Amino acid sequence: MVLESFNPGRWRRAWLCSVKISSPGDSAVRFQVLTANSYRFLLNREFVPSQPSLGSLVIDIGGLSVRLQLDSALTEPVVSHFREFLSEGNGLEALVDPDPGLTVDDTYYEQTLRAVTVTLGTKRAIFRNVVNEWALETCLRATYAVRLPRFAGLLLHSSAVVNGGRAFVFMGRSGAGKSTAAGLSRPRRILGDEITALRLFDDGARAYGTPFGGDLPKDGRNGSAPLAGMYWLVQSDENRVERLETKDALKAILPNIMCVATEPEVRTQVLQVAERFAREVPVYRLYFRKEPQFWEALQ
Amino acid sequence: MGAKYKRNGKVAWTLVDGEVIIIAPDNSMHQLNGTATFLWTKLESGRTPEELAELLTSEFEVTREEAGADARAFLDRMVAMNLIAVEA
Repeated sequence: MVLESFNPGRWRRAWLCSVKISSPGDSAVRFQVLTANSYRFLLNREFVPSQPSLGSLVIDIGGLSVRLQLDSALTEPVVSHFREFLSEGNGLEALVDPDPGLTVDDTYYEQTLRAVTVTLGTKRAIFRNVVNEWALETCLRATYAVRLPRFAGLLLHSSAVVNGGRAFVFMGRSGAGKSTAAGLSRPRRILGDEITALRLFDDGARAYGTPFGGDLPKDGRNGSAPLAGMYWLVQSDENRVERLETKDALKAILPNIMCVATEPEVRTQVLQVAERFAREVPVYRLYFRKEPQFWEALQ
Repeated sequence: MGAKYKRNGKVAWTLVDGEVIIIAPDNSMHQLNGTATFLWTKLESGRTPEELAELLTSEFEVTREEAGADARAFLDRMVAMNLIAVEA
C-alpha cells in the first residue's frame, strides 16, 4: 500500500453541512435548511434592492477585518446577524452586489457556493447574489477560509472551550463529539461549537469564536484566547490524551480545514499554514467518555 | 524511450517526518509511504518508468524486475488519482 487517503472529500462535506438559520434575537425560532436546493429556494425569494444607497460596516473575525459596502436595505439584518462581530477601521473592501461590470483586478479566488459568488483579490472582494444575511454569511465564510491562511490563520471545523484563560480546540470526524465535548465543558466559556478561527503570531497561537454555524448558545461569541492545544476526539471508555508527532498532527488538522481551494496557490498556502500549526502547537488525540470528567485528562 | 512522468503541478505537498502528504486538485488528501515518498521526490523533472526503476534498485535491495513492477504500479496508481501527469 503506497498511498493512503485520509478522510477524502472531507472539505466538501464540511461545506455541505446543513445551514442553520435562526431568527436574530430569538434562539427558540430555529429551523434547518437541509439541502442546497431548499437553500437556493430561500435565496431566490424576491429581493427588491432599494435605490442605490450604500451602507458601510466593518466585520472583524479572527482579528481580520472586512469592510462591507452593501445596499442599505441589507444593513439592518446584517448588523443584527453579525452584531457581536461589528468593528471599526479598515480591511478588505467587500462590495456586495455592485454594478455587474465591476471586477477585481488581482483575483486569486473565485467560487460559486450555493447561489452566491465570491471573488477575492488582495485589496477588494466582490460578493454577488447576496439577498440576505445568510447569503452574506456564506460569502464571509468562504472569504475567511481563503483569506486567513494569508495571515497565518485557518478556519477550522472545530469547537473551542476556554479553561484557565487558554483555548482548547476540539476537532474530529463528523459525529466524533465536537459539540458534545463543548457542551460537557460548561460552565467553562465556549468560544464556538462548530467553526473556530486560529491564528499564529510570533508569541504563540490564538483561537477565536466566529459567527459561523453552531447549535449551542455562546458566551459572547466574539471571544478569543491563547491556544492551549488542539485535540482530535476519539470516543472511548476512558479519558486520556496522547501527544501526536508532527505528521499525525498534520493529518489530524487537514481534514478539518474549511477551505475549498480552487487555485494551487491557495492549496499550497493552506498546507503551509497547517504544517506550521502541526509543528508549533501541541496536538493530541483525546480519548474521552461523554462526561464532564474528561477534563481531568486535560489538566 | 517510454513516456515521462512528473508531479501534477496543481497539487500541494509537503515532506513531514520522512513521508509525503499531498492535497490533490480535488482537495482530497493523501499520504505516501517510504518507497512512494522516495519516488515522489525524484519527480522534480519528468522521469520514465525505467529511470524510476533504476533509482529503486540503487536505493533498495530489489531486483530489476521487482523495481520495474513497483515503479509502474506507483505511476499507474498516482496517475489514476491525478497526482502525477504524463509529460507532454
